[in-house]
Amino acid sequence: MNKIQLKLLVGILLTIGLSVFCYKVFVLGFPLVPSEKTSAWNVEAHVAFDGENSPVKVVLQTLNRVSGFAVTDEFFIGAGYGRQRVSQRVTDKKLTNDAYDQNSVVIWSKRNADGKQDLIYSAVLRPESGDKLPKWSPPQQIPELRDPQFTDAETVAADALLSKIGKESADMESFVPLLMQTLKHPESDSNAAYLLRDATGSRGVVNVAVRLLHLSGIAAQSVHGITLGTSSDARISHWLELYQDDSWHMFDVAKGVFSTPVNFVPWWRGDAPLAQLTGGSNLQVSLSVVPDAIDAMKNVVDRISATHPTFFDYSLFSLPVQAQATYRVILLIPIGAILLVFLRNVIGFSTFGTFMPVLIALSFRETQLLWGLSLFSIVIILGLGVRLYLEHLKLLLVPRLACVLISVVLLMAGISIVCFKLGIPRGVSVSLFPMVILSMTIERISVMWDELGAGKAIQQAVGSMAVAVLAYLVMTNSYIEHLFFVFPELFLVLLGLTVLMGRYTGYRLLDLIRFRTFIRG
Amino acid sequence: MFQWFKKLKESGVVGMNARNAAYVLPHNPRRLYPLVDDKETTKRLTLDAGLHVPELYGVFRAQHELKKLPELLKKHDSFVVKPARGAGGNGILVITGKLGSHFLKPDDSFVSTDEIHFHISNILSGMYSLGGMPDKALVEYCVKFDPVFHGIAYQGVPDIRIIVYKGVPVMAMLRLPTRESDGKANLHQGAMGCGIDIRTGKTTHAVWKNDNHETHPDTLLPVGGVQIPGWEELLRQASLGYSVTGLGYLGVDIVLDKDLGPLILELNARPGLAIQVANKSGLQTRLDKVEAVHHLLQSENQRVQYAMEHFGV
Repeated sequence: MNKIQLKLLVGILLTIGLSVFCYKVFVLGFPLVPSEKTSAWNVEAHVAFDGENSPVKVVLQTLNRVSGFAVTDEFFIGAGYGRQRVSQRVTDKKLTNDAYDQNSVVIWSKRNADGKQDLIYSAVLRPESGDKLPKWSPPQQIPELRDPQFTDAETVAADALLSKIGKESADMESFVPLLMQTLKHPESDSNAAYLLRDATGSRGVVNVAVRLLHLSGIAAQSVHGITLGTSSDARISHWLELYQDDSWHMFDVAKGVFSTPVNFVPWWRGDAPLAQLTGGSNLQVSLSVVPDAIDAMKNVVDRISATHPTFFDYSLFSLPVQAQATYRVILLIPIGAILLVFLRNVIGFSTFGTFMPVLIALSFRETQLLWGLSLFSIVIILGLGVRLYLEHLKLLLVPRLACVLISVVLLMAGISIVCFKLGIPRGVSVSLFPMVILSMTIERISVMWDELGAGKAIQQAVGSMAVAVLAYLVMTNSYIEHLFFVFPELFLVLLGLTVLMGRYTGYRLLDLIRFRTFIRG
Repeated sequence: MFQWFKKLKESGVVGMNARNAAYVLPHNPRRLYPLVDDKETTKRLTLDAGLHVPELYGVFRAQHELKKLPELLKKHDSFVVKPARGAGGNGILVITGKLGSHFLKPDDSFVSTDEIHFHISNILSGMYSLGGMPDKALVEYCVKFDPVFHGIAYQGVPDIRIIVYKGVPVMAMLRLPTRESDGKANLHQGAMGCGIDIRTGKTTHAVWKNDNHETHPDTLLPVGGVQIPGWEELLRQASLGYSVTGLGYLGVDIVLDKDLGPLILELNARPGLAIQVANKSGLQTRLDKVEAVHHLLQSENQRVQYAMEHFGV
């Protein structure tokens, strides 16, 4: 009866688990392996300024209509601020052109702002064509030549500058780099210096360059944006878009050469700054562009949820991103547990505490393996020293355990401080290290030491560590993590297998050693 | 490697998984465990059923009861302190004599009253109990071991472990303490295991640290061929252990006292498997035989008779 029930249960679990798994893989097309490239970026602009007890208005360029990308999950965070989102013509103030691309800006406003003010704009950028970053595509609207609206004096200076550079160059390919070089180093040319007298930063240079180009008959516009990469330190880079002979030419202002932008996301066009502040002071804008690792699956999920909407209402993907990240870790615990079942019941390892190695392996995730191992060993060795001394004082069990726990916490704090002073930043990453488990381990090792001798105790301690390392290796495998997060139904399969192992009555591998006298003769 | 497994299977060796899944779990219901896990309960139970156990001098249930310790120690020169719920022979303190204010351990070292006090405190706080639960400490009669084992036991008390399956004693071994086991009789602590012929009660061959030995490692005297006195009565006592507790797969630990004869030290619901190594024989065939006939064996005497007829070497 029991056996039939067992087989039935295991059969049902395996069937459900595997059929859902197969359905998701073969019908819905879930990927079996994690996508290598992250395909989403979290872009964040942090605007900080000092309010002066007066009305303030902040105009910030936002990501909008980025060709090849979808901009989603836009958030505007500003406590007590009124906010409106408007499309703004690229107003070069004195220039007007209706066919121009439009920028999208957010306007934050407040009647009375005092003290430090923080405003945050964040958005997620996702390539429209799946995992691959889109190639650079030129803007649709062709800019028309406009009156650069120089004053008389400026026109004279501009003409002189342009004719000088014109003489030194052969075509546009050589003209623009020369012009930009002169503008970037205006000290050698008084005309350039005069034109740039009000310009600030590289954006000011770019704006003057655009006006000069229009004066010389080249339709040009400036574009400002960010480069997607892996570093979180993002900066605005400037490009010039020039239209000549029915084609677009991109000029990299920072490098001073014509080239094709790679991984470049245009943020806004025209002469406006990224953020404009009226009514405050000390405006600072910091940018961050972070590849969104959690979101690697999102593309697939979005695609499938469009065709099978109900399917995702009750999956892990319906949880907030933060909870998803937590579950990615939590779902690893059963994997560690089944590994332990295997090691204990099929191999025959014995460890300190049933699931202690799994918890240690989890903490290794925070500290990385080598550092975690050495930290663990150091704390255990020092803790054993404390424990040995406490043995002399003849303390009772619970107070003694508490003493060891306190010593362990002190030891870890000490190690962190020493490591930090020595310039080892890893030493500080111990926040989640399981101190209570460490204390219990120290106690168990020392009791075993007393009872069975040092050899057995060290042997079992090393064994436990080995199991923890093994569990760590399995639990940090990105394929396993992906597999069980995307296909949680596989846990039914694991459950079935564990139930089977629970009724495994065969020999353990280490029984061979135990009963070796029977094998020998 | 698979032929190794096959060889074990052919020898009828019962592995840890098989013991747990096929014998302990089905035949030892959890509700019966307290009867054997708490040595005080076991003592009461076995006394009522006419089994012989070492006399209980005193029980300490809480720290404050330690007040009466000096008075208790005054009355007895030799005694054993053990945790009521201890496992694997841990936490047992044997005192064989008194010298002034100090007490003598079997290895001729001294302990003070304070140290005994601390030891009992540790027992009470659960240091030696399964799962660290608060425990009781028993102080009981220290067995004066039978001279029959003189020369093949090194300090401490040799004991006889008998596996009883559904009331039938299926396998037995003599466990001899060594210098390495610190007077304890557990094989994994370094004691020597010695197979016993169930039919005659004579020791056969010995295993120490998983190797065959003919002599005791400390005294160098041969350990085989020693006749255990009152063997049949010993088997009957072991069989009674099943009648009293109802545990189908039971380990009975018996010591031989010079004056009092066989005394049951403890009953074990999860007896170890090393007994197979000591007897150079697997348990499986014997267990299968008992499985087939146990319903026909109604009394302890019948069960003992069956065992002696069928499980000789």
